Amino acid sequence: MAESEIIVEQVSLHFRLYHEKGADLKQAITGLFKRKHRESHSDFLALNAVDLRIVHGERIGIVGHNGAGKSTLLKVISGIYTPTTGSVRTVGRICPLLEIGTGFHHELSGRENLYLHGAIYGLHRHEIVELVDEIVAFTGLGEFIDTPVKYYSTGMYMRLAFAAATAVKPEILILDEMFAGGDAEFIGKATRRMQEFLDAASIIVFVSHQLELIERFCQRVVWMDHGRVREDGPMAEVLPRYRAAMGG
Amino acid sequence: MSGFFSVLWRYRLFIVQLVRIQLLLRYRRTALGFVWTLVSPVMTMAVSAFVFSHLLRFPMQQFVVYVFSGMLPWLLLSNSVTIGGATILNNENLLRKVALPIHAFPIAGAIGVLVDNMFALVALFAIALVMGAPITSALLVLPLSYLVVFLFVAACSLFFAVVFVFFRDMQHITGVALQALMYATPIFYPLEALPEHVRPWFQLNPMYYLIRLFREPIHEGRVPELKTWIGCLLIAGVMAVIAGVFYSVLRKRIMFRL
Repeated sequence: MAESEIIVEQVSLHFRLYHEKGADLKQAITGLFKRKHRESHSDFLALNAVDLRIVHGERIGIVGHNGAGKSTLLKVISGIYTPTTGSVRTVGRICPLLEIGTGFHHELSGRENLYLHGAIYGLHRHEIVELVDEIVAFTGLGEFIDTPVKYYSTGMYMRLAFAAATAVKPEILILDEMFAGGDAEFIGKATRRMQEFLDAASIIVFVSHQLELIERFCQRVVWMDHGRVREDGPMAEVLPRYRAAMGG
Repeated sequence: MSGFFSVLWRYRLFIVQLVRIQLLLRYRRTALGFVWTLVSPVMTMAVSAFVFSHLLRFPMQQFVVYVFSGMLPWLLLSNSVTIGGATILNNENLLRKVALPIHAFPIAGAIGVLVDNMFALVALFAIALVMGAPITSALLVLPLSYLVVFLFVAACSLFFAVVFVFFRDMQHITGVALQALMYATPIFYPLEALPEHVRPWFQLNPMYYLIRLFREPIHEGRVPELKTWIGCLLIAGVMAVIAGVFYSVLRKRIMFRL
């Protein structure tokens, strides 16, 4: 297998904030008649000349205050946002760990949802069939797999969604607050599966406000501040300084 | 350009799943299931055929087939715009989390509408036969008619899906505009029923030409002339280019507007 790699070069991203999202047509029309129309939006730099190189085997944590550009950086790396300037190159299949239930339709059966889920990840048909078998075994859903998920109990639904989210093992894994909103008891039961899932990834990029998790998972920490990389280095060095800055 | 189609090919299984879901969600848990695709156009047809045949004094039986042959391509267009056009907005949560080709959504929407329409064709045809539609070899040309009209409606689906992201109000306006366009298209009446001096205006409507690809084989039992085919292909091609250029110019900005 080729070495996975992420290279972010001089990436800047101008975000345009629209103050009234719903009134765009009206603005477009009135804008035709007024010579000078009021600014309906403001620009700001969500990412400012970010350079980052992540190599095979790294587990990297991204920290920073709210709005520092952590999630935006993840979206640029994932290819969801196109940077305004600069470039992002990735080697290896890149996937986010989806929040529990993303892309699930309540009217569809568990099996139908898994087919969609597999297709979102770009799997082939035979891979999806294997995935369904594996998930039925893990979740113990049995014949409920062909029942619309809206009839599932919360526990069944969680098991299915968790199993689906961790079934496809990407080379580059993107985690945005992975444990947020999870059911603690179930996550306890699923720890082993989660661990296997994490171990399978050759690169993990992890954003979290829970610094203990960063401490446990990551050897390297990137500290984002107002769209810039403020510090980038070993976890043991960067994290204490970040903690001090936050506490002070 | 080649990227546009190669991405669709790479995500073909995803598109198949989107189409399946669109069809499943429409018919699941309705007692009559997919029969509803037929019942609603049949009722529209029946009502309009009754009203217009009395109004315009056409023989009723022929008229039903006439309306039916115009309704098929019309439904293809209006459903592609309303259903296909809503696909990007409907999937904004997913798009915000996973990097997926955005145009796969409206294209899948249009394919779903096409499959739906073909079901309707088969069943409505049974009714049309009873009402006296001619069975001729001209009907064999219908797959080609579908192909040309599909190119047009898929482009419309993509175009409006992008428009709706940037101007959400347009979804409401488009509903009304479609209704106006439906009456401006000779579906319930022949163009000859209109005063001569207004006819050129109605001929500016691209659907006027596209519905011929269905009407001539189904209602008149003849294969459309070559110049009709070329004209329709030109209309569809121009629309495809407009939608493609529009999408590729705005593609990178779509994510920031969801």
